[in-house]
Amino acid sequence: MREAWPIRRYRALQDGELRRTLARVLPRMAEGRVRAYEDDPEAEVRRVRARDRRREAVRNPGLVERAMAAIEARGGRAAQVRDGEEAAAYLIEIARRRGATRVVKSKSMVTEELELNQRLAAAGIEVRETDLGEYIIQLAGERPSHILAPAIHRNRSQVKDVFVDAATGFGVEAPASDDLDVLTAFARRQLRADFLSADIGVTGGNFLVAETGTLILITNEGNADMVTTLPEVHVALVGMEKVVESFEDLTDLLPVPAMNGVGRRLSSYTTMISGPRQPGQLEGPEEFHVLFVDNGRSQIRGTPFEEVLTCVRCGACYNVCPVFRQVGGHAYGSVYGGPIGSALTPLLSSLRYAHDLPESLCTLCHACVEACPMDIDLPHHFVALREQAVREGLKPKGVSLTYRTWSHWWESPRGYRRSIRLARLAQRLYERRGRLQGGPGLLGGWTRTRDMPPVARETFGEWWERQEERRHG
Amino acid sequence: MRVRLFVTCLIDIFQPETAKAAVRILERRGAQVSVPEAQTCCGQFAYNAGYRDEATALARHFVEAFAKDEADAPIVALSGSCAAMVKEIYPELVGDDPRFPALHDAVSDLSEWLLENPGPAAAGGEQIPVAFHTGCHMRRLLGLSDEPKDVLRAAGAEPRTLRDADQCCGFGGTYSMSEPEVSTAMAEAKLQRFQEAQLEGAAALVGSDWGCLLHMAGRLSRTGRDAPVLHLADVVDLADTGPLTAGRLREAGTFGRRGER
Amino acid sequence: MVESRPIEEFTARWRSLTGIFHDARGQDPRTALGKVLTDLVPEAGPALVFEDPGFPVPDMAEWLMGFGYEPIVVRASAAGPVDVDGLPWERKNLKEAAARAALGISTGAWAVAHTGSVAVYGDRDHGTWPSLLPPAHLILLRADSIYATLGDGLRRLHFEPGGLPPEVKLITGPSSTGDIEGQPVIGVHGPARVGVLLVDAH
Ligand code: SF4
Repeated sequence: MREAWPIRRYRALQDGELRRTLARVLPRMAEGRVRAYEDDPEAEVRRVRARDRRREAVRNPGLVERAMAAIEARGGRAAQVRDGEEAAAYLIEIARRRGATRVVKSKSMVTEELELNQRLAAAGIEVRETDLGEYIIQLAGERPSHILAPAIHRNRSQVKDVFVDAATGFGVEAPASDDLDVLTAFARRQLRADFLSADIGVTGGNFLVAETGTLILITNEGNADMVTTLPEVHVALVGMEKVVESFEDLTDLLPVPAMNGVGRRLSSYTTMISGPRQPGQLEGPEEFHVLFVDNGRSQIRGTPFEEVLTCVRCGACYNVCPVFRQVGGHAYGSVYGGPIGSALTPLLSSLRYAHDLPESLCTLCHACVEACPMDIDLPHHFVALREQAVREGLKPKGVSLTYRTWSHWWESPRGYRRSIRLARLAQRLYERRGRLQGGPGLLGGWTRTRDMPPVARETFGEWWERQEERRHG
Repeated sequence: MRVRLFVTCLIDIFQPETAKAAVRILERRGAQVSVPEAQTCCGQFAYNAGYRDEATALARHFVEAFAKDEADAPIVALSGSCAAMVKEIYPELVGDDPRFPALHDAVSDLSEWLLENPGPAAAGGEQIPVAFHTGCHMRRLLGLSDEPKDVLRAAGAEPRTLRDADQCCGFGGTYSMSEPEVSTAMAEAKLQRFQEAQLEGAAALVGSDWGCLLHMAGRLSRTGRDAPVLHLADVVDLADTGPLTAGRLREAGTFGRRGER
Repeated sequence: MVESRPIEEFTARWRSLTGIFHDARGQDPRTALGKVLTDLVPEAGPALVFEDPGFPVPDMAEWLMGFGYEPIVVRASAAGPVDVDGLPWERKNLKEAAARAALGISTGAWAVAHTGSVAVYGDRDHGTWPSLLPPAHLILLRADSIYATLGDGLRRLHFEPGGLPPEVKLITGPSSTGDIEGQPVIGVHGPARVGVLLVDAH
């Protein structure tokens, strides 16, 4: 059950610490993107090519099968899973077969979406998140609040509190201060032991090349490289929309996430995995599996919303969104927050489940589409989802009545003028010292926090008419 | 030259002085202003909220109201957002109306018209710093961000861009009323930037959309921080009639006073 | 002939990313190694060296010992990787040795000037653990393997004699994070210090 939006909103807006952190960090990431493009005149050309390749890829339903064949040809295993239950069953089966109990994971939104950790835990498999941000929120029992920086809602002293608690539980020495190096060193030490002892590594995938079956993982910390080379089994869960056609596509695609998310030409580690370890090789897993995840994606294919599937999860739209900057990721009450989450969440599940997102967390300022490297027209999709909400009767009756009456009156100059005369009468109830205070419905929403001038004694239209009469007699 | 004024509902009803100022500055620049009387509202409020049929009806009415006469005379809009509605959204609502393409091409924002039709040179002297807020639709849908600032410069003001200028002020049409909490949080973030600009000498907050401006002025007023807030047309009108000074901007742009005139 | 423009661009970008770069071309490789080691590792310790059969540096282990390091050598062979005495490595032991090392040394397959990246391979003849588990990593890079753009490097992968390696990793800077307050911290899981020693093409 999702918490209601007013509760999420209240909690977010009164969290001063969160909002200060957002105000400090997000503009920096957004500016990084702008500067990176200024620095590299050809980046724009590459971006457009990358976008076109992604658009073609999500339209091509045969790519998953091709990718599966390529993976198998190189000694990997591939399967399609419909939902979280099927994905978990696949993993549990591997764990049973190998007697495995410990999983290390690198950051993956699709596994959050599938609630994989909870499902594996229920089967007695211990899952450790290894991305620093994910590690923090896993220990704290929270959800990610930003796709690039899942723990962005916590400041250093709040992170230290989490680590101190965890250290007590682990029976190890707690970090001595909230110095960032000290906190990071604590995580490094703890997680190193987890990497070395894990049985199975689970990752997501940034892209997957159909031609060669190559899985792409992009990180800055290096945790994905641990997860994919130290355990004997690597299982990658990849959204079916992440498949691209050819290896050549990578030239333009690989830089897109880092360029647009944080303004770097490439992240620290871009890893391309094309199979399990070879005979005579010691590193890498004995088994390499790729699970192609549907979980609602195929219901988006072929609809007017299809382009949302081209998203590369770069985070650029989060970084520029003015609503996100005020409320942060938890206010979305969903795995995918931010602008793309406001479209993706209702599209992957249902509008009834999440119509608050396109409705209440967007002012239609168009900052997201301007920043999006895939040119996903999110504002357009939000309006379309709002229209769908009207059609499906998801709007409160009073709201619909207001909009319909208002529109109807203003379809004619007579109705328009009449509404103004009525407003002049009605506003006497709410006028105090030349400003409106209180009031019903939408007006009340405004005057709760802002003053409003009253309807003018003479509108411009009325004044103009008077001028015209004077002129022409 | 004939010019048709696209007043926009918010200005018509709540800020008629700005429209009067617009008529004056257009006339000073040689325009013969007409105001199509049947105009009401572009319908953006309904469109944004998902009431497409209602928005389409209002768009049809707009076409009726403006297609009556002078099909080629420029239509000058006093709100970047409303101009964007006609230019960017109307094609999907009333694109099938044979009268629409001519209207589409005729619509421009006031700042564009003023740049093409410069008026009397501003009285020389000091440039008055003002903080300029570019509305999101003006910037992103119409692609205008230098134009209004150039107009201000020609009027003897020194427009200063706010820090985080890319961030929406939180107005968002009826968003400001249906989500007052988030909307106001955004206004506060914007006003913090305005206050920084004030400390650096900005004499007023100027914009091209009374939507954004009423939202911010209303917040300033509610929290007892009255500061002059003006539309581009107000500033140009002031500059036309004398040198811009902080005092004249304050006189013309203080929230409570506008309604009382 | 080695084109110099990509080398210069690579050098500048790599320096801005990691700060650790030595051009050993035309120099005594032992002296150059000594210099880059002082930048990389505060104190000598175990050093994991994955020898590249296509790019042998025969005296490396000896030099490392001379600088006070304890070389842990991994040498590819037809039967799988062996140690300095020709005894086969076991996966578990190699993992532990890599985790214990203060420094990893391996070769870069190629590099990209535009992004400042070095590609390392994980296949029969190359290992990525030296680039991952120790807190510092030294990459030996041949000057003639620097490409101008990412596309040039990626295209080359199709012509690798052993086919597409199971793992190809592009390293573009040290292991880093911005996960706490968006502040950059280096050395999260992988190495905090990554150096390139640029060597002659032969
Ligand atoms: S929608 Fe666009 S900007 Fe947002 S995460 Fe996806 S690709 Fe990036």
